[in-house]
Amino acid sequence: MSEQEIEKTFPNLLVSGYLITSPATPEYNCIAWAANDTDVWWEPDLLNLSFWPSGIPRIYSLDAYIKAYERLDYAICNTDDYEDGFEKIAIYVDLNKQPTHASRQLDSGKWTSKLGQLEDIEHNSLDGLAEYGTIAVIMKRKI
Amino acid sequence: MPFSRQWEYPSIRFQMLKAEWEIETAHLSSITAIAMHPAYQQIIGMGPIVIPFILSEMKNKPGHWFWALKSIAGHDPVLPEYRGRIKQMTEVWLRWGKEQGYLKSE
Repeated sequence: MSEQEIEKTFPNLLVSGYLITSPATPEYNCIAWAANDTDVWWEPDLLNLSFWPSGIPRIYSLDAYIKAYERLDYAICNTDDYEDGFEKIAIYVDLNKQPTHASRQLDSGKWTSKLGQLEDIEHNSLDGLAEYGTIAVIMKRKI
Repeated sequence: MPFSRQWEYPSIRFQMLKAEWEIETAHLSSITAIAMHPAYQQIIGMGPIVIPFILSEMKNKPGHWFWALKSIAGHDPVLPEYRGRIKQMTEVWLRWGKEQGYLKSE
């Protein structure tokens, strides 16, 4: 896949700025990448094809995704501003309030995302991926 | 239509649908959304004839074909501990394909 394809799908990235940081792979998705996991595809799919933390409802709800990240010691917070000593994630939802994407904040204050089956990118702003929807929740954990 | 052409046609159709599906779902992070794409659903609708095409594709390039295989075959040989692990899931399905005669053993 190419920069051209990424920029066609996510035109805001051209404005806010981004950098490709990995090869494309279908082996993990953004939900896994936000959780620092590159071995498994995380999703509560109903055919039980994907990994989903045991005991967390296997449904596409924001609450289920929040619970999944709470397992990793993330807690809901109020701002996406960088805070020293914390790692933050942002969960995007579509118009039906179903989670579509997650990004993780880097030490630089920028964000990193896995774009579906495409590459990982570093992006300057959460707005760069507006095609995934709106930010529903920010979570953070101590590092 | 000669018998050989009958087999050629689904192969070409599969390749066309696959190309459309790959381009339009590459950025998606949900297997459900990926599998609900019309081209993927048409591939499932082609039935067992596409299983060898899918397995050959998986052999060359790992991808999210598990929904289609499970739907067409009515079976899932993947153990729960391998869920979401694309490499292991692919290996399991390729082994299944050989056992079922969809792929030639090497």
